[in-house]
Amino acid sequence: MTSRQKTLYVDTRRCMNCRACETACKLENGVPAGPRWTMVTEVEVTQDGVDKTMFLPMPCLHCGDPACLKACPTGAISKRTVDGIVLVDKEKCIGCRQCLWACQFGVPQFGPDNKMEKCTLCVHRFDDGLTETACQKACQAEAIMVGTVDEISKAIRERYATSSRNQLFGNGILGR
Amino acid sequence: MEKVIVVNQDLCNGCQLCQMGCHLRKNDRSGLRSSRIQVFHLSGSENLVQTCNHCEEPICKTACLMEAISKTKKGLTERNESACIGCEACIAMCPFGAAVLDTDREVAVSCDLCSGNPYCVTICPTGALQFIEPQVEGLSKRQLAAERMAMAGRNKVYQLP
Amino acid sequence: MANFTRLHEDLNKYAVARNVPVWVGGKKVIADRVVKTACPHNCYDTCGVLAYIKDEKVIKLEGDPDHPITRGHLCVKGYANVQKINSPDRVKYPLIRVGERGEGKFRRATWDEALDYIVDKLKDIRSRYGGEAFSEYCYSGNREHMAKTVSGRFLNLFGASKLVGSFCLLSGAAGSYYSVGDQHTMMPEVWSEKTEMIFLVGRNPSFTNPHIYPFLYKAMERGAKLVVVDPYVTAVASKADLHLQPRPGTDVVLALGMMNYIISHDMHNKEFIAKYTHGFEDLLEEVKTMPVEKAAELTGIEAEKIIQAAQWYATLNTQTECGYGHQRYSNGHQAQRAYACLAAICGHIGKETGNYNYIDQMGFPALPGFMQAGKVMNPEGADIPKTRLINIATFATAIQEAAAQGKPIKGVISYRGGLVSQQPEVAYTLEALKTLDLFVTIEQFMTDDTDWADVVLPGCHYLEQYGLHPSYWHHYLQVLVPVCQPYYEAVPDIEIWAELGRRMGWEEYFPKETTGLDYIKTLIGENCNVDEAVSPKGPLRLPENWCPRVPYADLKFATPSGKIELYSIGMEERGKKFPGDFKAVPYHLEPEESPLSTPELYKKYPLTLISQHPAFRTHSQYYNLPWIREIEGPAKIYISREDAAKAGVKEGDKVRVFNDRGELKGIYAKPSIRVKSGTAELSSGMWVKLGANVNVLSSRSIGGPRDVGAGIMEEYHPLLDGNTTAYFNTLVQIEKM
Repeated sequence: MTSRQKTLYVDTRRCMNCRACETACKLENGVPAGPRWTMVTEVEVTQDGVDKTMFLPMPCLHCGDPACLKACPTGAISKRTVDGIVLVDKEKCIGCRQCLWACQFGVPQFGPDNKMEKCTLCVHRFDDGLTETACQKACQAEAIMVGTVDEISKAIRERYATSSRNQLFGNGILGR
Repeated sequence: MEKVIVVNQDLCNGCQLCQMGCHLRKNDRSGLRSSRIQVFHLSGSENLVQTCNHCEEPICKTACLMEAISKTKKGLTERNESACIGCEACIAMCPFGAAVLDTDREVAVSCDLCSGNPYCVTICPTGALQFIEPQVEGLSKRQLAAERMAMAGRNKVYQLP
Repeated sequence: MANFTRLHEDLNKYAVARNVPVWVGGKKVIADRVVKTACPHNCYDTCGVLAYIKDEKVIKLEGDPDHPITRGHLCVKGYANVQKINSPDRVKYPLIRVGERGEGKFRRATWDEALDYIVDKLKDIRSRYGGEAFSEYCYSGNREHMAKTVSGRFLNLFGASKLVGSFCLLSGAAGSYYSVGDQHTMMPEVWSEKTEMIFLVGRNPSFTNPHIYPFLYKAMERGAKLVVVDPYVTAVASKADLHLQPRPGTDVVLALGMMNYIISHDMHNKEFIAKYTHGFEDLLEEVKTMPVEKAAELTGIEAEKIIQAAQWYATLNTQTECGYGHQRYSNGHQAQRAYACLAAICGHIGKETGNYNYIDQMGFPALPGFMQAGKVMNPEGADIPKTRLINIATFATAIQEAAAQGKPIKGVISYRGGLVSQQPEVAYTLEALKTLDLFVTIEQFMTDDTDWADVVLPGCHYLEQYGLHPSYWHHYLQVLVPVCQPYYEAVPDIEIWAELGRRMGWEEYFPKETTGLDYIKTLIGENCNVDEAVSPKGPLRLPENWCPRVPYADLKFATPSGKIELYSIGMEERGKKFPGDFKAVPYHLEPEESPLSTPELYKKYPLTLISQHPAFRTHSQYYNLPWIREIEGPAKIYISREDAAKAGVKEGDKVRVFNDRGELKGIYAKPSIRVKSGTAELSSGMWVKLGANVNVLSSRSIGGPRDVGAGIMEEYHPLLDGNTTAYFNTLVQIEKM
C-alpha cells in the first residue's frame, strides 16, 4: 500500500524562469492580478565560487499534514482522502487569514473578495479525466511533474537512469 | 487589503508587554483583562497571542443582535460602542478570543489597530508582532521558503558524479 | 462603424474542431471553434498556437501539440495574449488629436473621417515636397511579413522613401554572411541527439527562445557540455558547465583569445581549414596579437576559463548557437565574424554533430527569394519610381538630415513598432517627430507613440489577422489566420493600407476581395504548398532546398571564394564601394563608449549599461496588462554589489540613472550577483511615459560594417551592409535619490 497523495514536483535543475506557468495558471483558473496561485521565485546563490540564479515555482504543496487546515477556525479547508489535495471552500471562509500566518510557504492568497484562494492542483482537470495541471502543460522546460509520490520518484529515477545509461553506453559522449 | 497585525507565535516570549500596553492605552489604567490583545501561557515555554484578525466575514458581526459591528471600506472590523449592550455574544462566538469585555464601561471591544499605528506592535520587544500587508507577508514567506529549498538542491542537469 | 467595414469572411473554415469543451477560468465552457495559428511576436520559437473562440471572442490559448518544436507549450506572453486581446484598454475606434503633440488628447472619429484626413494630408505633402517626403515606420512588434508587402505596394505607388535595415541583428547577420554565405540554422531536433557541446553566445533563451530548453536538456542528459557567453548571469548561464562573463563589447577578444590557444596548442582542424576555408594566414596574424593573458585582461574573464572553453571547443563536437546580444556594439559585425571563424578553424560547420547557427535567412524570407515580395510590392503595370532609402537604425537622424538637405520627411505612418520607445536617445527621436506634418500610428493601445500622433487608428491583434512568419530558428511554417473577427472597430493592417490606397485613387491595385491569404499565396505559393500550412492543417516542414536539415553539409559556401572566408573577400570588395569598418579579418574595436575608448567619459559614467530583452514583455508590449505587470514589478536596474556599495545603494532604493543624453528617476535598485562590477542592466522597452525607458540613455551609434552616416541612402543590402543600433555602447552613472 503506497500513499495516494498527489503532489507537484518541480525539478529546479530544469526551471529557467520563463514564468509561463504563472500566466497559464491565471488563464486556467480565472485569477486576476493580485492573488498568485503559483509564483516563480528567484534565488541568487554562489556555488563552488560560481554566481548562479535559481528558480523555484511555489504553488501549494498540498502538505500531508497541512498547517493551514489546522489553523482554520471554520473548517473551510479540507484535504481530499482520494488524492490528498488541499482545497478551500470559499463559502465557509471568513477571511481571517489564520491560514496565511500558519503556512510556512506563503501559499494562501487573498483576492478582491478577501477570501482565501490558492492552487487547487487543477483538481477540476483531473476530475474531468485530464492528466496534467495547467502549469505542467505550459512548462517548456518539462520541469513540473504531478502525480503520486511513487509515480514522481519513479519518473525521476527513470530520467536519471536513462541519462546515466546514455552517457555511458548510448548516444552520449562517453559512449563513443 | 490594508495592513493587519501578524503574530509570529514562535518569537513571543510571553512577556505580556503588548497586553499591558494596550490596556494602559485604551483604558487609562494598568490591567490585563480588558486588553484587546491577549497572551496565553501554554504548556512549557509556548505562548499564544490572540487579537482581532479583521475577518472579511466576522462571526462577531453575525452574532451581534444590536448591529453594533460593521466592516469599513478598508476592511477593518469596527464597533459602535454606543450601540453595544454588553451581551457578550460576540465574545462567546469569536473563535480567536479576540473580543473582550471592557469592564470599565461594560461594552465588548476588540482591536481597532490604533488608527493605523498599533501601540502593541511598537512596544513588542521580540519582534513577534508585526504590522504588515498580508500580500507582502505572503511574498516574503515564499521567498524565504524558496531560499531554504534552493540551498538544499544541486543546480545541474543530470550528470554523472 | 461608419462606411468602412472590414470583416473577415466566415472563419469557421479554419476550425480544427467545433463545439469543443475547454476549461477556462475554472469553468468548463463549450468553445465554438478551435483554430490553429502561430505567434509572430519576433521570437525564435514562433509557437504553434491553438485558439479557442466563443462568440467571436478568444477565450483561451494553448500551444499546438502537433508543432514539432514548440510541442504544445506557450510562453508567459503567449497565454497573456488572452488578456491582451480582450483588454478594455484597447484602442477601440479611430482618434484624431485635439491637444498639442505629446499631450495625448484625442477625440473619437469615424473611420471615414480619419482616413480622409490622412489621405488629404498625404496628398498635400506629396504636392508640396514630393513622394519621398513620406515614409512608413514598421518593425517587429508583430514581425509578420505579408502586411509589409501590402504597405510596400502603397508606398511604391506613392513614391515614398523606402525603409530598410534593422536595429536588431543585421550587424551580426552581415558578419555571418561574409563568413559562411547563406544563413541557415540546424534545428535542435538534429543537434540535440548528436552534439557533445553547446556553445551559446549572447542569447538569453528563457526570455527569447524558451523552447530550446528541452533540446538543451536532452543533449546535457546525454553528457553534452554547455558553455555560455554572456555578461549577465542568465538562467541558462546558471545551468552551464562554464559561464564566460566578458566585459560588454569584448566578444571579439574572447574569440581571438580562444583561437590563439587552440592554434598555438595545435588543436585546430588543419584538414578542414585547408580544404574549406580561405585566408587562414591572415586570420593567424590577427590571432597572434591576442594571447590568452591579454584576452583575459581585456575581457575580465579568468585565463583558466578561456583555456577551459578553448580546450572543450576544440576537442568536443560543438554546436555554436549565437544570439544577438554580442553584436549590439560598434563592432557587432566583427564579433559575429570572430565566432564564425572560431567555429571554422575547429571544423564545427556543416555537421550533424555540431553546426554554426546565427539566424535562418527564412526569417527574412524575401532575401533568399522564398517570399517573392516584388509580386505584391510592384504590381504589374504600375509605374514605380526609384526612391531614396532610409535606414531604420538611424530613423530619427535621417528625418533631421533629410530636412537639412532640403528634401524633408513630412509624413510617417507607424505600425508594429514603438518608434519613441525603441529608437535610441528618446529626446532626439521626439525632436525629429516634431518636424512632421503627419504622424499616424496604427496601435492596439495608447502607447508612447500614440501620444505624439495626429491620428491613431485601432489596429488588430495578431490573432485577428492573416500573417506570414517563418521562424528564423526552426523550419516549420504555420500561416497565421484570423481566429476571430476584429474586436471593436479594429481593422487588419492590410485592409487599412488597401483602403488608403483606394482613397488615393488606386482601386485597381487594391481590389476589395483580396484577402491576406491571397497575398500569402502570391508571395510564397511558388515555393511551398501554402494550403498545408493553413488551419486546420499545419505546421508545414518547409522544403529542404530552402532550409536544409544539415546546413552546409556539402561544405560549399555562397561566398566569393566558395569557402568559409576567414579573410573576407566580400568585405574587402564592399569596403571599396562604401565607407565603414570593412576590415577583412575580425579584430577588436572598442565600443564607441567604453572604459578604454572614452576614459574621460568613463570617469563621469563608470557603468556600461546593457539592456536585455525584457523578461516578460516583447519590448514595449504587454506591460500594460495586469498579469504581466504583477509578475515583472517595477523597472529594475541590476548592479553589482560592489558598485551598489560604492554608490551607497541597497535593494529597493530608488536611484537616478543618468548620462549626458538624459536621466531616469526612481528606478528600483537591485544589487545582485547577476552583473559584474562595471556593468549595469536595465531591460529595454518600458514606456517613456512610465519613466523607465532605457533608450532615454542609450547611444545613437550603430554597429557596422557599413557607415551609413545619417541613414539616407541610394543603395543598401541588408547582408552586405548590416547595421544594428549599438544600444549597449552606453555609459551611465547611478545615484541614490
